Amino acid sequence: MSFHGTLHSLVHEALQPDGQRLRILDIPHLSFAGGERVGISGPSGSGKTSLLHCLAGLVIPDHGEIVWDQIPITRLEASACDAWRLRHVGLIFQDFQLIPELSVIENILLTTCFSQWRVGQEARLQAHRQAEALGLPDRDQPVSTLSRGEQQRVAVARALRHNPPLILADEPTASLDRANADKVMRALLAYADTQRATLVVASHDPAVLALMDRVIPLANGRVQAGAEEAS
Amino acid sequence: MNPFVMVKADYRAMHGSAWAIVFLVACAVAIGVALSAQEKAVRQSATYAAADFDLVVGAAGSATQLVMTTIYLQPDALPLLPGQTLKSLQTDPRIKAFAPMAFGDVVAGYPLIGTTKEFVTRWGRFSAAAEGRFFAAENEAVIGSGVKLQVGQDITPAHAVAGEQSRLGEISPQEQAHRHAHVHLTIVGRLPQTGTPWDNAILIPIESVWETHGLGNGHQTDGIIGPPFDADDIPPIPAFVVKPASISHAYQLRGDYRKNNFMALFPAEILVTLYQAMGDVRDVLLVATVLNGVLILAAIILLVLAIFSLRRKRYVVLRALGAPALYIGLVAWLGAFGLIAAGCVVGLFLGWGLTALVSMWLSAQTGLALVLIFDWLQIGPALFMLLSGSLFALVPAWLSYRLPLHEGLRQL
Ligand SMILES: Nc1ncnc2c1ncn2[C@@H]1O[C@H](COP(=O)(O)OP(=O)(O)OP(=O)(O)O)[C@@H](O)[C@H]1O
Ligand SMILES: [Mg+2]
Repeated sequence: MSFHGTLHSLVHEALQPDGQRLRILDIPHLSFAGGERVGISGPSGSGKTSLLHCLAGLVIPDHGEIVWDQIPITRLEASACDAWRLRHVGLIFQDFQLIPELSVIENILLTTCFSQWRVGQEARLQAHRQAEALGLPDRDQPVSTLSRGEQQRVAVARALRHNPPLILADEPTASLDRANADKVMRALLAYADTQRATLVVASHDPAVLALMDRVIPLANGRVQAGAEEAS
Repeated sequence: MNPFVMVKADYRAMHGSAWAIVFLVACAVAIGVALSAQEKAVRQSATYAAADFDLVVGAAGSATQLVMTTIYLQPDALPLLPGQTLKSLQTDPRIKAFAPMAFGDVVAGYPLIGTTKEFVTRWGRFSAAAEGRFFAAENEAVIGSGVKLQVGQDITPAHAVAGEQSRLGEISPQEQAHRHAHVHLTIVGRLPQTGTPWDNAILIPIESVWETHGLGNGHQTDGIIGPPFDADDIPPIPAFVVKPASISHAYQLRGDYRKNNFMALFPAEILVTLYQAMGDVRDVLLVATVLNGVLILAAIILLVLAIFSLRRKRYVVLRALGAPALYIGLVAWLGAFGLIAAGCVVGLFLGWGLTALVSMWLSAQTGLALVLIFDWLQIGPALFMLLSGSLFALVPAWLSYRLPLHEGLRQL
């Protein structure tokens, strides 16, 4: 499996409350090789989340094109893009976006319910194994009562649920202590290895970025000079 | 596709506001159902109560009063017909059966009615009494199924005071004061239930009424009851119930007895006009109910919109996770549908319960056995509310498609 992506002349602006347009992303070119582990670094407000959302098709940029595995997602209809994301992208949001009233296992299995009436025994077992591997409490309680670190790991388990070829992780260790951060990163890397999935991680944790094949430094929505990619 | 996982999560997130929808819908449905069911029940049992009264003949006066007094036993002083009328009815070949009716006395609050065995047996429909036997002599009485007196008990009638509404089963001071102390009747039987006000009546031979008031007994000889009545001078009588031999005879008789201070009518005619009057009231009620329904529907829609707008972030998250539009639509629609449906079910039972209670009370007041009718038409407005209300839950879900997901995740 080789899930590679390219990004061309991406420009995205946001409308400020005062009517001014603020350029939040301006990236001429980026590419992601299949199976590559790419870090995105940068200070707060540099555009890491915005870039990941563009890569996931959550927003169509004002200019530019993003192609994943020959599919130009920037040209897909909204619902087609949602369907593409479900099949291909494991998305870990910066603020998790879990369903607070559902339990750990229900959250992990949620995306399965989009297509299936009954969640099979096999899928259920797999979800339990995943939860266990990430050290999650296997309790039937709403995730809103879990600690932030635990919620973070539920979000990771949910993203891996469908064996997606692309993982987009937004600060996956921000709420974790060192030991748990290592656990999560090991799980993500192990997954990427076994599935040969492409992994893009936004983070400002040097320990996390050190695990990546390369790091794209962002500042003010632009890729920092000197680190511009060759191809 | 299994939207119920998310519907469950939504209900948990809504807490009390979900109950507000259920409660509001339940109240609206209950009121609507109770109104229409009650009206139907009253109408049906009123019609049923008139079944044994084909043609009613009385002295010229108020037609409504004649019907209300003879069929529904509303106490009222009817103008009297000359006793001679009885004789002409007796020999009229167009008549299959007839019965005189004499009102005016009470026993323990129950109206006492003088008539003949033909009517006591409801023109032969009752082959036997439910308890004891029918009356066979002047001082014997039979009681309706609802009368709380015993077979074998002795009773003394009292003159009912006009305008005095007595309570069934209670001896009022007025009754105490107006007793015909010299008269003693024995209850010899209890009649089967008819589901009409007559269940709360005490029936005696009409001869007994005449004797009580010192008017003789309508016969040449003493001790005879029932037709033929052959005395030269028969006492005046307030009303007759007539069973014509055929429909054409019925119309002829009605025509004949409409002249010269007589009044003859088919109770059904009067009921139709009464229902028309009732219908006017019902129309007013209906307009009020519809307006009430519209207001409540608007309230429900607003509530649904408000509550489901709070779910907008939820829909954005589901989309970001890749949920298809159908899934999100189903989550929103089923969520609202479930709440409104719960309200409808609770409301239907509440409404029927309310109707049953009011009917019980009305039955106790009037003796009309109100049969509750479960009409599928009553469910119509509830279904309308269910479908239209739940569709509005789709609006917030649809709105979540108007915003780029990135913005939705940031802003909501
Ligand atoms: N819809 C928007 N409207 C206005 N400003 C926006 C919008 N989206 C993003 N921005 C701005 O774009 C910049 C980049 O935001 P983004 O969330 O991508 O940063 P980030 O690198 O992920 O920051 P953090 O490390 O704090 O998560 C910020 O200044 C943010 O305020
Ligand atoms: Mg961010």
